[in-house]
Amino acid sequence: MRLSSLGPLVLILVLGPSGSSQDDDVAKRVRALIAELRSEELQAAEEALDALAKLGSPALPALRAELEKAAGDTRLKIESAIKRITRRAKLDEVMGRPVIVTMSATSVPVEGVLADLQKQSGQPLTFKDLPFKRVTVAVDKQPFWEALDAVCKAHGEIMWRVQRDGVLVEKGPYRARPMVVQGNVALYFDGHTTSKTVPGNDGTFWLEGAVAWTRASRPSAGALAVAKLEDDKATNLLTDEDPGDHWSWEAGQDPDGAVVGSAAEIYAYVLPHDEAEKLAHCSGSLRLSYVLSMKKILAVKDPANSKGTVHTGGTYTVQLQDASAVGRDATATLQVTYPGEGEERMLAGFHFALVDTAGGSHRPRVESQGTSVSHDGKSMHTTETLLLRWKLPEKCAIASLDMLAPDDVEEVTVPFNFPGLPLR
Amino acid sequence: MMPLTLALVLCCQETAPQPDVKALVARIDGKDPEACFDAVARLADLPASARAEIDAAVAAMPDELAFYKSALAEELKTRDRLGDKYTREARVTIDAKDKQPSEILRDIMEQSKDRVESTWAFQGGGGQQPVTMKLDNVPYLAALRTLCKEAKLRIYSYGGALTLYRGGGDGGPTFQYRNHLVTIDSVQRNRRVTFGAGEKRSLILSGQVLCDMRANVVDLSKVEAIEAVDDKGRKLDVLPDDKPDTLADESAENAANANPHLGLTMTLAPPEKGVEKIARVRAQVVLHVPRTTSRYVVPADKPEKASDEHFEVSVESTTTVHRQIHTIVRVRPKGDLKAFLEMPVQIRMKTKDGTERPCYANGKVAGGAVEYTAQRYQTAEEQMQGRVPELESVVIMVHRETVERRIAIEFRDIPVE
Repeated sequence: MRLSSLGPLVLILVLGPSGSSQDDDVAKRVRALIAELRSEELQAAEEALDALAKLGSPALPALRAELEKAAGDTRLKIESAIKRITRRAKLDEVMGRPVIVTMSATSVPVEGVLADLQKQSGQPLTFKDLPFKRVTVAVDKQPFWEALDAVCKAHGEIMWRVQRDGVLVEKGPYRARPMVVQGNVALYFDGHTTSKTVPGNDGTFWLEGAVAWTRASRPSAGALAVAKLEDDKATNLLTDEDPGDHWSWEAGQDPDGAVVGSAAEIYAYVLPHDEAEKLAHCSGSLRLSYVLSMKKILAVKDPANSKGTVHTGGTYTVQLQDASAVGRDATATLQVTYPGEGEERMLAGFHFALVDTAGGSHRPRVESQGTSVSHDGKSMHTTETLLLRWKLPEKCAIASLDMLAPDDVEEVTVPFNFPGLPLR
Repeated sequence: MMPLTLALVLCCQETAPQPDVKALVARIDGKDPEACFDAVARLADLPASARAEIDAAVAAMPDELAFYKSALAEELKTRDRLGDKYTREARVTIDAKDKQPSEILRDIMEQSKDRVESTWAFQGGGGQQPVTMKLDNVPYLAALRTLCKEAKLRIYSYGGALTLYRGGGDGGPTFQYRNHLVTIDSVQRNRRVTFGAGEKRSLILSGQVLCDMRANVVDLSKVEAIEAVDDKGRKLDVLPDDKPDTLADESAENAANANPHLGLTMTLAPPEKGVEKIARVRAQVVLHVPRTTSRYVVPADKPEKASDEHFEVSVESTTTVHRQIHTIVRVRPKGDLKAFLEMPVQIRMKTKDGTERPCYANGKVAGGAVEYTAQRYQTAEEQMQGRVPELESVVIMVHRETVERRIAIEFRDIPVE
């Protein structure tokens, strides 16, 4: 069977209405809902506002036109609808459109199925040592990760795993891993390790897994919050000191957005009971942050000639230790001080940018050079030394080095609940 | 004057009484590994004229001592290959009665020709009890270990420099040979369950190889466990290292780093219940030592590039933060980048006080080159004096070719309960 005889492998994307008649329909609907906004019944007005927001981006031209004519409370409500729609659109942009797959293949070589899945989904799949086998698989409107898992399951002798900047499918028995998929995000666990140090009986138990997201999705930070981790002998593996909040991902070093996966691990310092057979409870949530907008909190003008200068923005103080540019390569070393004692990821989501004299903005790669904590007699402060490196598109005159902070952040929660994970 | 001094030294070496080869070979009896390896080191240091006698004596050794025979054969091979570069073992004699540990350390440093750095252990002074120790013609690392035991100090390696720090109890099992100390820092019983693929149990011995500045080691290639026996005399299988494959490509990110990886892991089948100790573990540590090196010295304060047919090297920036000197060095290979990433790189900073110290350096591939961010930490001595020396130049060594240096190691009585 040739690849061309494959059943359809389709990405179903949410497309907005097009054409002038549809525009007119939307405009009519907007006007009708705005009329309802003026209702004296509070619930009816709120429902109209929700309905306007749900119309999405296609309603924006009509809403903006109506905004020009409106006044008072109605104007405020239209502004609120516009804000909700633009925020939703921005969130869709940073989360990426859902990659939904529908495919049907009957007795097709697995490489062909995977190649087609790769081509149509646009995801960075690579294959290694795939045993030849014809597979039969049918997937109907499933998220990409579930479609990929279904192909591996259909083959039986291949397995996938996410790497930092790609997804590898390789030879190995298919294993049904505990996995939860929500939209473009997948969280799975591969297994666990119990390690006891001798002499003594200190130990660590950790679940090893990964978070994967599709290429267009751009989470800025992630955390695993574990709510319950308990074996079938009622041993609670979480302690007060270790409440089960585990950071797994921070995007500061990925300005290009090439990363599609991160390790996700749950550590516990209480070991399961020796006779426990399984984890009765393993639940919690993966929390992913998406930055919708940034605000400039400070700017260092003419950085090459501003070594040693100190700048303040919000609760942050930045000292420019060093800055230089040779050709297209630029570097800067900053000391960023902020309140608190090594607060987790205080700089998560922060951006730095070199702004050239033509207004172009350039993101660096960021490396932490170390953190120190100090006390000024009143409170604790953390100082982080950062090395920033740029590869500029061409030699350009630099106007300023800007520090931008997340202004609007949306946190998306992916709950997980894997009861009965085997301990043996 | 110099030639005369040299002549006298040579004369003394020629006339010094040679240890009895047969007596040294007889000490390799398998009872005490340290005594056996001390004999191996001393045999390897004998002049070439003793080779025939050594070969004859070794040939007569019984088969149960094959491990030591092969260790000696490997050492002699290394010596033949390295020729003049083969570092002879430094031996010291210490006769100290109620002396401050810092004074004894200075004595060891002088006799071993500065193979040990001034140390954090004595920072701030005081708090050290006088020590009495008497050692006659022992390897300098043995003297250092005795000092550590008596003064409750531990040995630490930073970028090829040995130093001491306070506390830490007795430490784990330690094996010493020439310029190398090999430690077992932790023993772990591991049980790994892979969902859908069952469980694996193992005993993992983790430690490190500490090398002094003259060991000239650029990397640890691997550790090959040869034999493990528990205290009931049963053999324990040697297992491959078990690494979870999640995000395995992250290790590739570290490929460009210029730091020697001297961590050591041996994975064994777990002993049965009731076993309290591993009676012995024998292994070979395979180290990389340089064979062909490109060395570049780039002034820190000038935008100059060092270049030859192999590489173009430049210092992009330098800065001092928290009393550490940081520098960014770029190495652009003129040939294949992939081949360059396989080559160990060492970065040192030469300061205007005349010292040259190793750096900790992470590398990132960027546009056909590797950019290293190198840090030079303040030494204990500098911290005590409250100074940070000024950077003069950055020394970049690219080891284009390396050779393996195999060292046999043996640990006895490792507790596993």
